[in-house]
Amino acid sequence: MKKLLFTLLTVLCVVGISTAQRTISGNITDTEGLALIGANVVAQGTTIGTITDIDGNFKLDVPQGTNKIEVSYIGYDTQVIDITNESSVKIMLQTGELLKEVVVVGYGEQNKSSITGSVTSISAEKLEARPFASVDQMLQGQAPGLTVLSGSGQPGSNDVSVYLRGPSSILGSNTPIYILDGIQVSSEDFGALNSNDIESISVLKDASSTAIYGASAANGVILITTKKGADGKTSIKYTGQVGFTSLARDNFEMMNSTEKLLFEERAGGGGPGWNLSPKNPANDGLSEAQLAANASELNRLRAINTDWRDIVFRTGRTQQHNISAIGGDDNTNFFVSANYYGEEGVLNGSDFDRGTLRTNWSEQFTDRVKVGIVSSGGVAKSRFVSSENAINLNNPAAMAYLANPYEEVRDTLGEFAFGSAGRNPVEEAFYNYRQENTIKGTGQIFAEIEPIDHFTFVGRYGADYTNTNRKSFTDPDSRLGSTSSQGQAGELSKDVENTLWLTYSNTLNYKNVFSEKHNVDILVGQERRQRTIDNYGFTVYGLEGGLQSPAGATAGSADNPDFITNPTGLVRKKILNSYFSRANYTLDDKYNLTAGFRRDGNSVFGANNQYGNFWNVGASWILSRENFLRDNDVFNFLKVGLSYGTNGNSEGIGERDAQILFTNGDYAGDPAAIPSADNPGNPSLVWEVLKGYNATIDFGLWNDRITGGLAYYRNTTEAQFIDQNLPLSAGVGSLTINAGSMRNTGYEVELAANIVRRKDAYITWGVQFAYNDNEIIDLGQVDEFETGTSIIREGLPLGTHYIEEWGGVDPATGDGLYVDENGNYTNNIGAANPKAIYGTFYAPWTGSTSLDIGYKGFTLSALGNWVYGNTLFNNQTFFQENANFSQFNMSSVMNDIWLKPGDITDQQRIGSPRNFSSKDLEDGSFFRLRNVTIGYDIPTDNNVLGGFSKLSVFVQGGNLMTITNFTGFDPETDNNIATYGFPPSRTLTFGVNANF
Amino acid sequence: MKRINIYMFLALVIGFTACTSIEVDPTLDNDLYQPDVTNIDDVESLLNAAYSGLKQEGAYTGLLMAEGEWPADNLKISPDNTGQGALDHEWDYEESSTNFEDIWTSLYQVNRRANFVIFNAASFSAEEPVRAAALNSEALVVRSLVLYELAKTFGANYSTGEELAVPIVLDPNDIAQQQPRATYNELFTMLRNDLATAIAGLSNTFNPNKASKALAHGILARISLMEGDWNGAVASASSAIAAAPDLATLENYNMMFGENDEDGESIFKIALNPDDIKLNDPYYAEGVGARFDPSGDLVDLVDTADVRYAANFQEINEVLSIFKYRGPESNRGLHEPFVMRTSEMYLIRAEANASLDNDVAALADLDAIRSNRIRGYTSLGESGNALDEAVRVERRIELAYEGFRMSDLRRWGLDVVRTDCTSDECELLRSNTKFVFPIPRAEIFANDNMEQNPGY
Repeated sequence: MKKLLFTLLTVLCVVGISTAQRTISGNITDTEGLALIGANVVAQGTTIGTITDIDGNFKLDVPQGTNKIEVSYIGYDTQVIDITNESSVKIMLQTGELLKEVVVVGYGEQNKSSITGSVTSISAEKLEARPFASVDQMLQGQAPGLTVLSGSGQPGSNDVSVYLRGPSSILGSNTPIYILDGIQVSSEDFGALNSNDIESISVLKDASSTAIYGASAANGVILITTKKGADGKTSIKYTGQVGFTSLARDNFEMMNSTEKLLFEERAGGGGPGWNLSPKNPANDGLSEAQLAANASELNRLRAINTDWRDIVFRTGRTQQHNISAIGGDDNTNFFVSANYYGEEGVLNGSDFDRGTLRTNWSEQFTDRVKVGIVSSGGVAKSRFVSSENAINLNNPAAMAYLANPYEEVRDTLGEFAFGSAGRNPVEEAFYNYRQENTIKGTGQIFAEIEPIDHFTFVGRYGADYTNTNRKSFTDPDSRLGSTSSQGQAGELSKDVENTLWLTYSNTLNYKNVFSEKHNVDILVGQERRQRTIDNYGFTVYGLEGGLQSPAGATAGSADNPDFITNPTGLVRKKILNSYFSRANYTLDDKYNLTAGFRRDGNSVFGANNQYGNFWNVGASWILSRENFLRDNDVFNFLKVGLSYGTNGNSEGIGERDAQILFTNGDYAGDPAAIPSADNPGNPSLVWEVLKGYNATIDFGLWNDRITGGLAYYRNTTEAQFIDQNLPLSAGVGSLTINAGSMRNTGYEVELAANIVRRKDAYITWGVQFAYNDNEIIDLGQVDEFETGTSIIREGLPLGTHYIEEWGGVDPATGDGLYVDENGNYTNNIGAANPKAIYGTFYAPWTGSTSLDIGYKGFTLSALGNWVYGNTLFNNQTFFQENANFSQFNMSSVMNDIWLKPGDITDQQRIGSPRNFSSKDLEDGSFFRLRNVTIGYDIPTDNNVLGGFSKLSVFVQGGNLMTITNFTGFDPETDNNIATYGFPPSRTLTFGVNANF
Repeated sequence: MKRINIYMFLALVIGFTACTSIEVDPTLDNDLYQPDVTNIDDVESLLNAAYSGLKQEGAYTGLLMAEGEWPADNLKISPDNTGQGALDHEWDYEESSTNFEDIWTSLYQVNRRANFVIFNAASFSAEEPVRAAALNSEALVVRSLVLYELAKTFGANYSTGEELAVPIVLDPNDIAQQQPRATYNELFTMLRNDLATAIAGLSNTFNPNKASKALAHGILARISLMEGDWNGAVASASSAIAAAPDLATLENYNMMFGENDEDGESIFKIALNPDDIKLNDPYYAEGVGARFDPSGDLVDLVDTADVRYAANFQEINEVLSIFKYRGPESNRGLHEPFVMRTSEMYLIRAEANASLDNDVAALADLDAIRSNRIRGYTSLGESGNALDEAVRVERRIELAYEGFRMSDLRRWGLDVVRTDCTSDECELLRSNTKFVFPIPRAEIFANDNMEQNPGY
């Protein structure tokens, strides 16, 4: 017997050793049994592969030692089959990404099918190689209900307004919180984050999905996960692109020199058009020769038509280079990347450069302990335009329109000319600059330990450090330098700000399946986050000798009191500590129940009010797995979900707002204790609470030919932070209190249609839209309060405009008319009361549409987003269509100003007061073609390009087209009374993607 | 292996869950702090805060002065004006105008800071009676000053004293109180009491940058003038003159203005730092050009031999410009504002005496001023109506561009008449509601007991 066994073993061994490869055969179908033709079968870890034939059959010779084959087909999930003990396999590929899709949620991942709330996932392809400096700008149009408005086109600017499901806080912040790899970051940090490093973004929208993040997640949570390593051979990917930026929208037709000089003559207020005019009574006593000289000077000026737009704006260049490597084996995973991004802004004198490095690494030390690090560092430099948003001619964006066309950059002697307002943006950019440099480092170490079966402990300990260094230099030789407040010889200011976030997070997770149908997942955890901001700076005066550093300044002293340096500085610290728990129970993969509780504390509140308690419940049911729908022809996936939860918000409250504070001042050299007058601090402040219902339906029709979801939500925010207006006579004016409530109700619809879905061609069309109805329910002791040109009133939405109604121009007198509450016309604005009938600044309808087409190697993808139903102030018209500002250039509509009785026009006569009224309110709806990308995959299966595993080229355009009726600066603004901000730019880039 | 894992896991959990505290060290922030009044020096710091509050643009470094001159007839819009003051000059202001809100807010903030001093000084009156009384008195004077300015700016037209002035606010800690407007009689009764207490408690040393007995008497004189209490005005003005510096002379008048900014005859002058707001900004934008030019109506009244011609007017780029408060060449516009000067007391006494028909006394005061202003002056010997007119003219010239003109026209019942006029609006009748400035809309909104002035 032993002998037989031995012989058998020897034979087998010999047979085993001598066999270099073996043949695997099989058949591949879809879930309905239909053969899949041309499916790929690859021996994992090799390049040995084949495709299935017309019957879905394949045969593959795999080398000895290969244990797995990978089967893939466009539109279906790739499967990895273990062939250690098989040589013939029958494989059914699944469609329905919804079933298998794994989504990153709070502190872990969940199958999308078991989520009871509203979560939208955005994948890496939508974020890669986009010509925007900052990740939050790329979120526009990617998730229904998420509104992203870019307030400034300045490259590197973090002036982006983001809110989810309508504004949920009147005074506090509306911004969702951002979590990057489990650690909270602020949106200002995105300027130094490489968006190519991102694997996925999850937008958590309803209270039950955000609840696990609690502490200020009432506005929603945006989870960003960076790429991690993967098993397999190391692959290297390079993406490069170069391109151009230019002005996205041309606005404002302004007068030319002839028209402006004529207008000055009509206005009679000043300027050469009036001063040199024969109609000016001051010129009555002039001789013939003098009158002729004036007339010829006017002629000379009429011939000058300086195109200020051309001088101030330019076509900028942009480029980006990204190289990353991903790889690993069974135990180790890594992802490293390096990136450079550079953009020149469309305004002369503005640009942005950034370099980043990232290392993500993890190691499975034993089968129960895994440790890893996530780290990145970046450096960003930008140069800024001065006085952005200011109505003065130091702001080049204002100068482009308001500077007079008969003025020139340089006078006849070649020196800089300063015109009527004493400003010249070319001179300003020539002498002076404002810079900001940011250094950022993030580092996180995490450990996943499974001490006993089914229990996993995850600890994350991380730090996020940002150092921002600002410098502003005003040359003593410049016009601005000569009017410097101290010493009139220029100034230099430097400002350094260090922000450090420290996060400790510990969670314990229990996961188990009982009797193969009861799936239990329980998580408990604690997290502490603290942020410290340390800021200091100084301004020095009296710069001499050309040194652009503090060494060139004149020291202040008793003899030189004008040059006394101004130092500034402060330190702010806040700490949040939270305890949280979540329990999830799934039965039969069909029925899901979830519940959670959390307790959050924030140091910004007064000592007795720091902690708040919040909880949530939810349930979902996957009907398509039930017997009555299992074989349904139409619905291959159908799920309904319902959830309710509460959440807290403390964002928007400053670190010292709960305390009554004084500051140091001085009088005649003696110390003065000055009580804080704006908002003196309220120790009774507590958490704002959001209570929300959320109902969802998700479906897939006709084998996922159409997939989509509907969500309906109703969120009520209570104990809102409100600045209670106090009588100014009491010496203060306002106090932040918790009072009142606001409700956001709405729905979101998301649809994707896979119109064509074949191996070598696909067309997918996606539509998303959302409607939000915001209503202020209660404001505590008052019914309403006014904030400038808008009103916060019970029963109306936030952002409601409040302004007098414009009644046109009286043809008989040329007076501007206003309509009072009885419908009567009056030319006295004081007699007409403001009305709240002009809609709101926050748009109720938002949406986007996307199109993705692929054919053979070509791909086209386009994304456009739109906003509808809001009203915006056109603040620019108040200055451009206003005879009181005739020292500036005027809009060409002022050529039709009322001159004599009987004139029918919209511009009232010179001398009739020009006030803010509904005349300046306009429909703010717009559609913007955000991105169009055309790409081509160059075939690499040849001798020349065989080294590349993938090679593609692409052309991309951003902000290509805007359709809007708004005549103001830009309809996409987060500031209702924006004026001459940095305009958004249109980009065109060409790039190449190479994988090795 | 398993046990090590469990221990490691426990160690990590215990070690790190210990970090759950959310206490922040209150001394960490170094720009704001919680107040702690433990000794009388702290009370003095609070008083300095009240003085410092007078440096705000809504108080004495711009707007209060500007709103006394822009709507009046001492100036005209310059061709280089880029918008500031243009609407006020043409009486286009409304309840929502921010300039008036700034004035109201700034002055009431000073009122609150003074109230803090009064509130806290009381607790030290046992241990340091003299110093506590002095600080309390200075605060009473500062409070009376700002309440008088508020009444003068926002109060209804004065006739019997039963008209509405401004609210009286006394408690610094109740930041939500909604006080109604007091009548002039109620307000002035309180101010007279406060000023009497203050005069008793103030020390006799005179510091032009702080409240003094002279200032207290001066405010009483202004109140009497407004009420038409001529005898009271004469008495208070005389007390003020006795306690105040001497009238500026021909030699040292110009040292008070322009480059030198000396204290001279100031009764109260606010101390500024080099980077404080430019005082002449309402008239002249440094580096840009004049916002307003002197009106020929005023220029024609001033003799070129009068030292006040050079103090008020100067040619810049061949155009006559407003020179008052222009400051030194190294820091244009830096000039400490005069709140009250001895000349004003002489003018009040002259006006009161003229109204009582004490022509001789009135002429004596008028001549005292004129002989110290015009080289080689001999008395013009006016009397009767000519004397009344001369007093008005002298007051107009002496206090030009210091913020008195609008309230003077109001008190005399005169229209604003601009003969040298560069704008469309050249006349405002005394009956026009625009003669009374609007109470800010924010106050009306937040204070249910507030009543707006007619016409707004």
